[in-house]
Amino acid sequence: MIRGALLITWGWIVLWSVISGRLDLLLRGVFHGLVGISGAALLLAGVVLLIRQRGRYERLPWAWWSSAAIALLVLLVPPNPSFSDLAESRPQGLPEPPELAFVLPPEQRTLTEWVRLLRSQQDPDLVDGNPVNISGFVWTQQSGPPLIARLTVRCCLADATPAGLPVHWPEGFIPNTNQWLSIQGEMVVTTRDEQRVAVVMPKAITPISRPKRPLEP
Amino acid sequence: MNKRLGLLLGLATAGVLAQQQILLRLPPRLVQLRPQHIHSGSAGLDLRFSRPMELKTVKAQSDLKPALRHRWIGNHAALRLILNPTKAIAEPIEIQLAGRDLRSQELKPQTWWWDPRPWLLINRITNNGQQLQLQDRQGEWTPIGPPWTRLNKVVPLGNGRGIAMVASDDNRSEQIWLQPLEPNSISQKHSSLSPPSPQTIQRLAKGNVLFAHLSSNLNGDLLIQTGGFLPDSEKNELFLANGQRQRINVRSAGPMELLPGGGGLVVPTYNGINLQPLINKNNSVQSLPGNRELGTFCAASGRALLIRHWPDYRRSIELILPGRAPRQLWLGEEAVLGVACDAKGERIWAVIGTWTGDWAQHTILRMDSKGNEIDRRLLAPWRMKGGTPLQLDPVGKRLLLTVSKKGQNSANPAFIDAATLQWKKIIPIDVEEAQLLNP
Repeated sequence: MIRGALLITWGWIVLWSVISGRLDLLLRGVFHGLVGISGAALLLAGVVLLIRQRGRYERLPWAWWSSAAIALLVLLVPPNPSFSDLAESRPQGLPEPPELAFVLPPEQRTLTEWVRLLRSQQDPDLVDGNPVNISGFVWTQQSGPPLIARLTVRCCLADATPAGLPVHWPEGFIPNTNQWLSIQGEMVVTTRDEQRVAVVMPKAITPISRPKRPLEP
Repeated sequence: MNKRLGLLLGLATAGVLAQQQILLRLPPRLVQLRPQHIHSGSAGLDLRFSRPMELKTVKAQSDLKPALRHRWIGNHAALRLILNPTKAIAEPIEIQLAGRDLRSQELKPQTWWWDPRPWLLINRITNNGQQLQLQDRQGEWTPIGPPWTRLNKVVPLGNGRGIAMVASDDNRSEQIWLQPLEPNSISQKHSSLSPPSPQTIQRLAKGNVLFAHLSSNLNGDLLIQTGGFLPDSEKNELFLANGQRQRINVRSAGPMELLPGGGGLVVPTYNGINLQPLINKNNSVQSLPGNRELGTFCAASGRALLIRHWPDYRRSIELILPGRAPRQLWLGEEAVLGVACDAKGERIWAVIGTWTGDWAQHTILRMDSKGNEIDRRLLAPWRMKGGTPLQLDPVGKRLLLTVSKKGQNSANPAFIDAATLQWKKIIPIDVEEAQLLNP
């Protein structure tokens, strides 16, 4: 009976993660349906087991008890990942985009599209003066000033790849690690380490809450 | 058995270690050197190495002769050399290439010759009809392909690897051809630099068509827009530089143009012009209403010049800057025959014309990006031939146009200094049209 209850709990946690949006922190939206189906299957299996073993007492091994403890922790403690730490430990080769849409007006490009554009087209002077309207988290690197960044995923956090843009932070503004910011400004070209690089020159920086779907394809 | 297995494992380990040590000591190599036409300067060259290179050392140890203003950009194994000289480049450049990779292994010093100057391509009038010809650096003309009865449209591919053309015969039907070219603008020997070599000509569309329009981008992709003799027979096909073909399902009210940097196209509609991606899954189209036509693109910077036709028969020249409303640079009652701009849209040239009796008087203007007129000069006794382009040669700092004189049936290629607007050269040869071909 307890086994059935535990399966129902896990099924509910999986389903609830899909419904509440917690899964957005782990997995791309296109896979959420698949996870939802697995949650429903677990729930169903739990109900069947519960009906079959009604009234029976069973002795559970310790692994089941630890699973129950984890289930409770998942329910009680909301996830709060440090994207900056994750970005710091990940390789920076961006996956190929589903389609290149660089003909979009510059202010409609997302941060990831900007990074892809600048990597595919190495000449930063071609985007000098273009308007920028992006949002992302503050990625504090071991060396160099903080970047504004996003994590891109093919599937889930396990293959997350950071995409970051250098920002000319205004004097007096201290970007906090993992803080989500919306930046309006323009792209300027400057020389850093004897290399010309495109840098976001902010005109307005607004702290925002973490977006519902923080991972980009 | 165990001994043999141990021996095999030992040999495999030794092999891996030997390979690692060899790779560690192997110096970097230059794998590819090719002109890059998408850049912000006068000319660009892409270099690909076998190993990630240290940009600082390549920059410090490499040299150009003549010493032109330039910059190195890029990272890892792909670097780019961008020339941005203040004066016109009048001769091939000697590149002495050296540097170290990220393991501090020295690249074998080597010398390359690069001629970034575009070639002058003309549609020459001959006794039998018309023929494409290229002018070499000594001023001699080389035929490119066979003679034609008539060439209605000539479009050099943006990567310099071919010339697409619409030929028509006496039956008023059109055929589309591609004359592939093999560029010879980079070599390890100065003497090997030569005009591109013509390859076997290819027919791009089966059968004859009623009309055809061509457009190419700097990657060398070619868009073919055709219409047949039957209703609804219009067809748009994209011939990618890598040899693939793609149907483009877009309705337009006129000739479409590929964006120079690739990825999108400008589509004329009955209400204005649209800008849209080639793969338009999200149906994201940007529209600019009004009676406007595309004048020219300012290289690959996302900037372009538009010509707007007003209801009171005036025209204006507008500069499109990414993310901003069109900026009017000039407004007048004169006809706008041609416009040109530099890569950043900071310098703009236009040829405008007015009728004086039985002859049109043409004037060339030079403006800045705010529309301030910097200079103007009358083209008289010459005038620009209608329907031919005004093109900027950023390497030679000059403008190319096709001009004719009163009483002259044919036209001549002519160069004007882009800074002073003085005539540089009018070539005494009968042409339909003159254009620049990227090296």
